[in-house]
Amino acid sequence: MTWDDARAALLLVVLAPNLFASLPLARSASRKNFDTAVARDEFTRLRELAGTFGWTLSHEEMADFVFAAAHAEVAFRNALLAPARPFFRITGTGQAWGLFSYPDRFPAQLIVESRPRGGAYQLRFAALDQDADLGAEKLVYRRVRGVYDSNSDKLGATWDPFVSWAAGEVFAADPEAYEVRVQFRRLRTFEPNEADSDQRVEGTRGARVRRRP
Amino acid sequence: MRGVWRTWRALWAGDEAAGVLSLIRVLIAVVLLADLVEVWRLHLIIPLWGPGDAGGMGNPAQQRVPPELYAWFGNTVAVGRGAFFVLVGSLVCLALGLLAQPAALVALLVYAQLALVLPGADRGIDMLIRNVLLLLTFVPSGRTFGLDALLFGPLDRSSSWPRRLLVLQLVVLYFTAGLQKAAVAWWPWGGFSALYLVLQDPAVARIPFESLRQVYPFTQLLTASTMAFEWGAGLVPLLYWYRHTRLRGGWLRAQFNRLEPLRPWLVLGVAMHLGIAATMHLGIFPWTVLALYPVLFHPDELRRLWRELPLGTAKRARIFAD
Repeated sequence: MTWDDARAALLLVVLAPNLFASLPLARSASRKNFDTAVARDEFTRLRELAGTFGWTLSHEEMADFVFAAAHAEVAFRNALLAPARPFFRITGTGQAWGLFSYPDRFPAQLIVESRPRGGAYQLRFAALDQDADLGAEKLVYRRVRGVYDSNSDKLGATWDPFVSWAAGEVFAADPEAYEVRVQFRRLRTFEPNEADSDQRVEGTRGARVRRRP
Repeated sequence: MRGVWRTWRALWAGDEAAGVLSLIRVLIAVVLLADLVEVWRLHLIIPLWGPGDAGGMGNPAQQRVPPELYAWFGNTVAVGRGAFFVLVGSLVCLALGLLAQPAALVALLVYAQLALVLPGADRGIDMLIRNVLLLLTFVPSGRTFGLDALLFGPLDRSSSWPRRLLVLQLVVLYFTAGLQKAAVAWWPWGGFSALYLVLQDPAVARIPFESLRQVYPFTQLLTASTMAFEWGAGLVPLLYWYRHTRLRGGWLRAQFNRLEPLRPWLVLGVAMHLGIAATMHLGIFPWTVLALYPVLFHPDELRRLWRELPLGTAKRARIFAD
């Protein structure tokens, strides 16, 4: 065996799990996720498309079908990548390149409000609102955005620590602030042929309040 | 089967003028350093990577499998801050080409630990950087355009396989990103509305695109271009193969080599990333990917491009001599 053979063999061992990891197979599957507004909207459009080919399905039928396929994919993917997983973990390497795979028609806008003792809430930060930009530099920084954005569909373990940090930033910047409220404003984006406006507000979620210590 | 193996082996064999991986080394280190300086300037080291009781959002000690960084060295602020500065120090060494291979290994392992502390703050682009760092641990890139040249002697030639591997990385990145764009909004039957929707997401849009509907057809064109670019990445290996075997016959090979579609594909890629940088808050994403674009050129091509740059001959000769 020559050095060229050894190198080619080593690269094959490294590339095989990496190329498999890059395949667009489902990485997790949850039937509950198919009942979210985003999934329902996407399924509606897919069902309309399927209908043009004479394939009529209810939302439940399509969700069950996609879930079964995704569940099998996840099991297959996890089984094959199991030996490589410790290596991927310790090196932080991998192959997952989904970028805006599903553009969000129900985007979330981070809202930070504060009020003085006995006063009313005032808007201090709202993403993209130039009149409410307290701490904007930090809040739009990609790593911080990544933390709260991962909570926009389903609140996770980092939401409360994030709220505490954001409230601390407001308390430090404004000595009058007594209470801070952080939440998401749920928006709905329309295509030009769907409605007269680009966006409208459809409620809030995840509200948390912090008082000055 | 032997033929397949011979082809596979030949794909990774051979050498070329050194320098491209050294350029990647410098560019990637500088881009990540710029991002880490931003973390330091915004006082985000502890919120992002500190322990929970000091205000760290990741709360590493409470994780099911705590990151080794905190499990081994203790759940303290000093550990989070220390890891940050070790990462910065190793990237400075990497940029200078000083002990470049160990520096890349240290940067890789520390950066991977920080990713485990707060996964939400670690994006796909950070994973791409670590993939490149892993590769750089196997490449003596500091011996060209780096201080390792003074310590261990300069290298004029280097193996071709690391550059080819990075070409494959870019192809996989773009092509699988295209494959995963399964939402109807990316396709003709969804009206190519994807970018129109993305640009109105307050989490990523750089400015309020309040009158976007007036240029809706333009956003549709950009959506279609993005899909063409990403799916087109699947053809890139074939284009390189046709170029490599240009003396063989065949109408398709001749047409591809005559039209050189790699050039417009590259121009589209650069335009796409500059467009992303101008319209979205995606941080170092566009700059990191663009930093890898030199691998798409053979070193001889880069030298030819360099010669065609409008610089004084004397200045160019001086830079090459350095």
